[in-house]
Amino acid sequence: MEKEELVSGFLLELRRGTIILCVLSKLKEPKYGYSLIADLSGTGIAIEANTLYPLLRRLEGQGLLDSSWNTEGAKPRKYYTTTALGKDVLSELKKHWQNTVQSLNTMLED
Amino acid sequence: MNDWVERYTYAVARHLPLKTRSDVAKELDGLISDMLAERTDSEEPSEKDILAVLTELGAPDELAAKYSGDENRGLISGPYFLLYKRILKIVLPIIAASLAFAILVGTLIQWDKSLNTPSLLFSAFAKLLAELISCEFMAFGIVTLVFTVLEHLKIAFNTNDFITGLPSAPKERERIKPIEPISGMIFRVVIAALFLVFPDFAGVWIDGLGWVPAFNSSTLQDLWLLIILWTTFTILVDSFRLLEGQYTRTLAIVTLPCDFGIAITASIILLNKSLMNPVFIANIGDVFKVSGDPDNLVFFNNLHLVILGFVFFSLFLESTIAVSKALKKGLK
Repeated sequence: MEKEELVSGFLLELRRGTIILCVLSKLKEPKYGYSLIADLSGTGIAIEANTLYPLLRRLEGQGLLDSSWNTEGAKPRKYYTTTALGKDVLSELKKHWQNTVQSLNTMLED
Repeated sequence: MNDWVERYTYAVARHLPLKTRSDVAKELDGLISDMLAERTDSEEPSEKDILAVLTELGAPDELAAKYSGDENRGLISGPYFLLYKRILKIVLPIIAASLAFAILVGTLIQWDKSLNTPSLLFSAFAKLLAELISCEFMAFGIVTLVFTVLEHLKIAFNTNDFITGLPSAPKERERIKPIEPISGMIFRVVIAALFLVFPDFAGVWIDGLGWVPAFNSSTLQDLWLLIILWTTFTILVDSFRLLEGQYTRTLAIVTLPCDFGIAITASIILLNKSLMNPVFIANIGDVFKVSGDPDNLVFFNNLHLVILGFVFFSLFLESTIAVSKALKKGLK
């Protein structure tokens, strides 16, 4: 039990660090929050709504995302998309991510 | 039934800044309806479904904290909290000791032989308790307020030069443990209190005479201001020992004049001709069965000088240690 708790704690930290990368890369096309959750879970990344929604707003506040309300459908929905700055940040992060993965893989193979 | 959703979104939004409230509430409303649609396959959701979805979203205030970005923030956190705790640990005991001392002095000034001593002591104790509660809370409040502002404005304590500004780490044996100055302060307040309130407490039991006080109580009472001055000097030194936590130049600079002050006040008190109780001096030799030996009588006859000698010796030790340790540290 104790081991499981530790592992789930570490996993949470791992996920917390990578989630911004997922969100920025998935929002090249405008999406609303709930569709993004479904999208991410389709690629094996589980994120809860109560984490994602506040995160979207935070990234918007930081200028990495842009948002607009779409009221044409049955329900009004807020669509988010990556800004130019967001794309810039994403490509930087991507490089670092790939380097990290490479180093980690080498390390973990030992 | 949708009342639950409305209550929930309201409960989240009310913690948020005014300009984002309606937007967040609207978005949450959409999210909840999406979650319900998925759960019920677009059928009309039951109250149970609604409650399940809201439970999944979690407590409104926790969600609001995530929205506001204050999730892991405290009133005082991180390095501010460390210093906050340290300051409180120093300020609160000093206030308690000073209050005890101040009230004691206040009580003594009122004291008069015609007054009922136990009831005076009781009222002094009650006053101390009341003052302790109000002053400690006030100090706690002020320190907390100052640190809250520091935290809020994110005022940096560290300049870019935080490495060279670091004080040298005292080795284990160089450290002044907080318990030493704190117990010192308490001890000195108690001793001063005893001398001022019960000047007869120091003495011996002599058969036929009863309890013979060593000092003249009326003289001690006349000297109250000097006794308070003596205690104040010692408390000042102890406060700095507590603050510095090790022997530093500042501590030496404070210790020297204070010790000088103690030496002067102690001399005035102990060289007072009517300080010692003559009955005590006349009979103390008998108690120790040394009446036949004039050398020993010299010792007892000049007891006040002996005490003064001890005081000087301890002051000399304290000053020498403070100065030599500070110099040693400075030379490194």
